[in-house]
Amino acid sequence: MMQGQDNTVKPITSVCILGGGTAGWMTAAGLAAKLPNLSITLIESEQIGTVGVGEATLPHIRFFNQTLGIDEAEFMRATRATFKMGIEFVNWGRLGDAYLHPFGDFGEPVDGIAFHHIWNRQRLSGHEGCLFDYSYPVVSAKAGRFHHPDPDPAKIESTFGYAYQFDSGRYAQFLRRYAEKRGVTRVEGRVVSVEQDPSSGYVTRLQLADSQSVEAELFIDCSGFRGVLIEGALKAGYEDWSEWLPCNRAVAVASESLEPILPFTRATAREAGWQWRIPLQHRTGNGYVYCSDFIDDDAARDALLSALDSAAISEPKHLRFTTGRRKKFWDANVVAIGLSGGFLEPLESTSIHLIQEGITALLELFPDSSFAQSDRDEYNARMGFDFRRVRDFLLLHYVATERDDSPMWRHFQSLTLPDSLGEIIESWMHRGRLPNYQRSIFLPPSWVAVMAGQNLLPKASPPDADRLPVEALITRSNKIKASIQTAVKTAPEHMVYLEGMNAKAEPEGAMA
Amino acid sequence: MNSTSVKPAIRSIAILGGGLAAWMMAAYLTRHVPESVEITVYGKVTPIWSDALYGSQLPPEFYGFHASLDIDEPTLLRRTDAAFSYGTWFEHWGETKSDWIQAFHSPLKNLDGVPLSARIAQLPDKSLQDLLVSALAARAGRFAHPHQDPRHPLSRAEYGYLIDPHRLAELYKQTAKGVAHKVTGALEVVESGEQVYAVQLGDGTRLDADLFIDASGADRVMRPLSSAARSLSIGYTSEPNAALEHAATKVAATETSWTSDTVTRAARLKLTVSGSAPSQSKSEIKSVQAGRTQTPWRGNYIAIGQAACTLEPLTVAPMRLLLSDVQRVAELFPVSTDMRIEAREYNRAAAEAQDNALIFHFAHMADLALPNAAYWTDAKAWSHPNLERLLRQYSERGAHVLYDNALFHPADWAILHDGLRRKPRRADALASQGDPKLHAAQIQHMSKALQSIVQKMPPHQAYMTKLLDYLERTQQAGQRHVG
Repeated sequence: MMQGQDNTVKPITSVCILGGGTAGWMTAAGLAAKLPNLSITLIESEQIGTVGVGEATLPHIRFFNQTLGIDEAEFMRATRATFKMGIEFVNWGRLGDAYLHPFGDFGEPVDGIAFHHIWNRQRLSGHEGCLFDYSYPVVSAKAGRFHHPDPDPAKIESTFGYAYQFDSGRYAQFLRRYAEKRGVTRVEGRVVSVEQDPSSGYVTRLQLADSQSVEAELFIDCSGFRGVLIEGALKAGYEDWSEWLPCNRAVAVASESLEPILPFTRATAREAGWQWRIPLQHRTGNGYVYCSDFIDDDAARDALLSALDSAAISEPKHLRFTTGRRKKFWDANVVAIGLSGGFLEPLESTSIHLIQEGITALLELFPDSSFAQSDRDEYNARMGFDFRRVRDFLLLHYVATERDDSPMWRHFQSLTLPDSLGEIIESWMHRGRLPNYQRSIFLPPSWVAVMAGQNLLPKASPPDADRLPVEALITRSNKIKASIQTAVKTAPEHMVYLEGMNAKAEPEGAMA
Repeated sequence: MNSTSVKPAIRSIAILGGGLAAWMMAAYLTRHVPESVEITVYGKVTPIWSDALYGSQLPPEFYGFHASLDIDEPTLLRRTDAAFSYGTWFEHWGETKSDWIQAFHSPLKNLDGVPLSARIAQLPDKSLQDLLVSALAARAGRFAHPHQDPRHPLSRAEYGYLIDPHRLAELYKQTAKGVAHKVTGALEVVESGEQVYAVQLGDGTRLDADLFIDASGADRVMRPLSSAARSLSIGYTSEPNAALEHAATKVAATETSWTSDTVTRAARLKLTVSGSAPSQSKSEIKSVQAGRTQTPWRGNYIAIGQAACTLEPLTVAPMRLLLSDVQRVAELFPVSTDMRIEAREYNRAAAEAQDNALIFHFAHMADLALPNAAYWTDAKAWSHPNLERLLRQYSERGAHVLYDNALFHPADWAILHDGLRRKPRRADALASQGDPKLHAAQIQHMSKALQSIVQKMPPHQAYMTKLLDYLERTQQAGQRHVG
């Protein structure tokens, strides 16, 4: 086999993953699938438990599953998954407002001009029309209907993507079975000490409580917020983003399922943060993400419990975090994936996605025995870039608002924005212009959804849109709206469709 | 509120320059700004060498651009005597005397789950050149339109045009309906308030416009170059031509610089670029300063194309930059007389596009052993962090780096690295997976299949003759039908 021109460089053969949550098992499964010659050991401890970040995902997860060759229905049964067409944001722009940020486009372009410009043109000509009526996934999600996107790109039923809402603990277990079947060794135990090479600082061995130890060439730190290796051993440092994203606690609780089970997640803005609602097949996940400066833990718990729409079926669980990112995601021979690499609140379901980005970048830049600095530099540059762009998009939700009804919202009213975000908002307000990123998790339709949904309405439309005769545009837009309504009427109900594809899990009792 | 028209804040535009950039901008703007906006092109007829600096090749994206101007392919071919192009054929390049076709190509396929280019990069004796239908066809002197069936290998070939840029400018001029043209002498920019500019003629007469677009080429009316400018000499000749040759522009390196050779249906266009004026030459020689401004939009004044970034056409970068500038001006056409936000957005995107054009250009020289002539040493001295990162990632392990507002894409870069015989120092873990014997067999099979397809393709000239005959007949039939 050809091994590059430098024969002194040898492939890495052993990898140790510390931590068995969503990040750990996703990484184990991803590496086992793509690099089958690796010897992979995963250490996890039943005692420590997992956080189970975000139960809602982004459409990119489908690519991850497909790459692994995972059957969709089997995966959905195993993880109690439902389909997700977007996120409904309630009370963000103003108390009483609601909009759905869909996975998909709005309308269709006219003469190469993006539909949001067309909509602005209509609006500025005095023809009010709700942007969200021109999105198939929004109308379908609100009607509780779902089907796979139509393969014919000419049809309105093709104009969306979708993701899942699932039990991330069960997803980790599902991927554990996948990974173990492909030779990943699972070691039960708790790390008591980390051995490092005295000269290079590279981690060489993890000593476990029961006198076992694990050696490897490459270590992947999936140990969660603590970052046992990346921070505990290597002191990579943390860049604190609380200045912009001050929420630092969460309280989570499961509640009974409520019919109909909706194909979207809901994020409701509250006095000191926001509350999530994620409907799975067998229960609803709920949580309140808040800032401890503005509300205490007990009050947050009570606020969460009193706002549930069905009976709680678990004990409320409290979490603490600091938003931000590790200064180096990859340092020496340790790569931090998941919460050990950084944490941005799950407002747009990015936690699992950032895990996936970490795995993808690691595979593309997988090190060899030389541990070249260039691999590390590139990995850190790519991940830093992703985190920063997600941060700006999350912060947008908090600052695109008229709310000033509590200390937290007043804090955001007086916040100085990062230049990158300030300029995006300014260009949008000036003429509906959006960033044209080559590499970004959130593409223009997402920015349109949040800005328009939170009442940031451009003051002008671009001159090329102004050339178009507004009456013809309105006729065209009305046609799109009508075709969406017609199509949604005949679309199957979400759970009926899900059962029809054999993705519904048997009730707990029936599972022997 | 009047529901059908919005009163434009910018009522008049003055485009400075009389060549390709000016008329391209004018033609495009007539379709993108409100019809009441007055557009005037001011300038003397541009010297031929100035348009030649954009190169004699249009990359594939011009097909869509022309469609937006209602210029279909038959019109383009008939009115400009253009031919087809699969890319640029480089000869005798660098110390290794590399010979490759920088072919236009859709994104490369995967081989066993890994990009084909990454597989090839790991194999010392294999080249992408044998696996690109466009490169093989260009080398064999053949051409056919891409296949409609996406499963057919010929569907992945992309093509552009070999064209005389001066003729193209004429076509754009005829397309720019309603645009006034005033032939003037020298123009001069004067400041008429903070961030507001005006332009005056040699006799002091002021041109009246709300927005000025400097499309005057390397002569640029305003001189906004950065200090790191390079001196170039441009020699350009156009001679009548008899028959089409390869569907590619040929670029050959010499001791002192390089020359390019493009054959259209009407002419053989030869360009010589060097770092200092040659002592003897039959061709017209023009000296230019190559360089860029990173703030092409200041106040009410926008420099586009070679006036913003003067770069010799070693690659299609100058033509791509011009197209992206033209489209960006239209996209950001001001909505009010306060243009600061538009200028900021424009300058950010333009600087990124320039960076990308420049790193692709200089990647043809950066890490190569080249003759000790002024042109080559100046080119090698150019550096940019984006280029360093990109070359480092590729030379280390064959990884690609993506940038915002890129004009050149992973397939372009993969073909360039492969053409220059850049091979990664280390093996890539993903690209080393799988059975190398199986991959070698698949690569050989692909290469043979492509060769047999190319052998069945007609020569460039024969294909063109048949196509033009066919167009002629259908047009006559159409006229008879209408009559």
